Amino acid sequence: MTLAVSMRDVSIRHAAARNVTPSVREATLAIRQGEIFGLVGPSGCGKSTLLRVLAGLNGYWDGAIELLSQPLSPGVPLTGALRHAVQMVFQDPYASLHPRHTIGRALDEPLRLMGERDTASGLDEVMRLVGLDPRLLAHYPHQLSGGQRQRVAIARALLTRPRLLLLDEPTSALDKSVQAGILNLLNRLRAQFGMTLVLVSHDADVIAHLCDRAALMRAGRLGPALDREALVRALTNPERETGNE
Amino acid sequence: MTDSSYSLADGAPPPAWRAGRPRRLTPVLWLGVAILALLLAVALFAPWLAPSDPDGQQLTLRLLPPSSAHPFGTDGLGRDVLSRVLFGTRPTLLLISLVLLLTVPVGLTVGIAAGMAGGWIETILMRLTDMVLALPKLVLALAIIAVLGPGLLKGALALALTAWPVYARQARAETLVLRHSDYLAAARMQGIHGVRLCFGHVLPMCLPTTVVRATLDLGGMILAAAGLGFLGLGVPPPTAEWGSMVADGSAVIFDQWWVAMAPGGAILLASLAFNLLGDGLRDWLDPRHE
Repeated sequence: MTLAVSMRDVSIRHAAARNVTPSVREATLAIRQGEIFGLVGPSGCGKSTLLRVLAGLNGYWDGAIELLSQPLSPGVPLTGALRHAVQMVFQDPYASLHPRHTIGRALDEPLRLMGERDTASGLDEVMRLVGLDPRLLAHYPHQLSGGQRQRVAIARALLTRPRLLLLDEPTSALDKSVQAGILNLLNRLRAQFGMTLVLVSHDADVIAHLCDRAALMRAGRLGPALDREALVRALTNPERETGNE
Repeated sequence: MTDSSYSLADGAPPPAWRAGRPRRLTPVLWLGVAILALLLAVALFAPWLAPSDPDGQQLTLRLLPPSSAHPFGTDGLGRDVLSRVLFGTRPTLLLISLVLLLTVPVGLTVGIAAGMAGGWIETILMRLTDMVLALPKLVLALAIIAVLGPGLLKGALALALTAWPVYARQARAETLVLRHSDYLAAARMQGIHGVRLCFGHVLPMCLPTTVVRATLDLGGMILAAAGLGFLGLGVPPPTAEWGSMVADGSAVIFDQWWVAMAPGGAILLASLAFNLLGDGLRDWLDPRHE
């Protein structure tokens, strides 16, 4: 079986604090291709930090990481095909969209960088893919609702045809009624494009709703991967397993 | 399939907003734009607007008070003050546009490069900025003109040499805030980096404050340009220039006040126009300003 993500003994620290204890210690993890894998834990446990390393946004780690069967080295940015293959959706859709770029501008640039000349049809297509009206392309992020912005962020992540999509609490900044729509969209897109999803959340409902397997995280320590049954059992008794203090 | 119903709930464009920026100008901005437009028009059409030759000396008509023939009076050499004030807009506007062209691009590039690069590049660039910032503006300008000799282009160069660091500092400060923002991280994940990231993504965020800062600085720049003229280091004499006109008039300011007042008023007006413009632009450039 091919693995989308393979990590062995990975410790992560923050850029500025080299002498401080790593915020994630000796994490070992294997995520299969095509599955939805969850990382659950209380806030501050290091799950977002772990995700940013997988996204290639934080180079201050040591250990061994393989993404889509390609080994990474600490401090070396992702390039080329791997850069396109690994994309991320951020927690706060307002902060992850450039406030002075229209939606069209934000989505057009990656397409052009990938060598596409006529982007108009591609833009329409990706907007419809995430359930947005293409007329929104002319708008600025502050003119959209939270749910619409997050759909734009998902559309942007899809532009490079990723095989691994990292989701950092993609629904926690959104209203409950909008959350389900975004989660269903992600699930549908995963099936459509055969992507692997890694979902970080502190919301047990979200994880239980979507994930095939998940690992619990607490104070920088990553627990073993749990299948659905063990996961539901662990989540229904969160005091013992995740230790919300 | 909850997503197919997008046109009903989540995906429809908000009806109240239209694409683009349908924004109204505030009164302050209007006033600034109006005065600046007036100055530009005067500079452009000075030969047609001026009642007489700005350099035409008539020694029999020295220091005449304002009258219908000479609305702002005449100066010590019998030249029509109104004509000279009208022609004086030209060197002033030319000088400050030159200063702008020389300072803003340099300051922005240095600031954004320092902020994005970090490390030793940032240290070198910012210490250089600090060094220039420590030099007194007008004194250094005087020294440079003393070496290069007076003239419009040299004056602009002298003023620009000490004017760019403020833009560099400001751009760097803003870049530092943006550096770890999610949208720049997202852009990097799309493979956008280097010059494209700096000028396509960081620059638009630094531009509004820079434009405001530059417009507000222009008021001071006009004063500095006039100061150079006043000290006889601006445009060489026969050419009408506000600063040197005030200097000419200061000798007779108690008896023939109009000689200094007209160019002084013009300096005030131009300086005011840019301050109003800067104030108005600050509000107008905010994309959330409705």
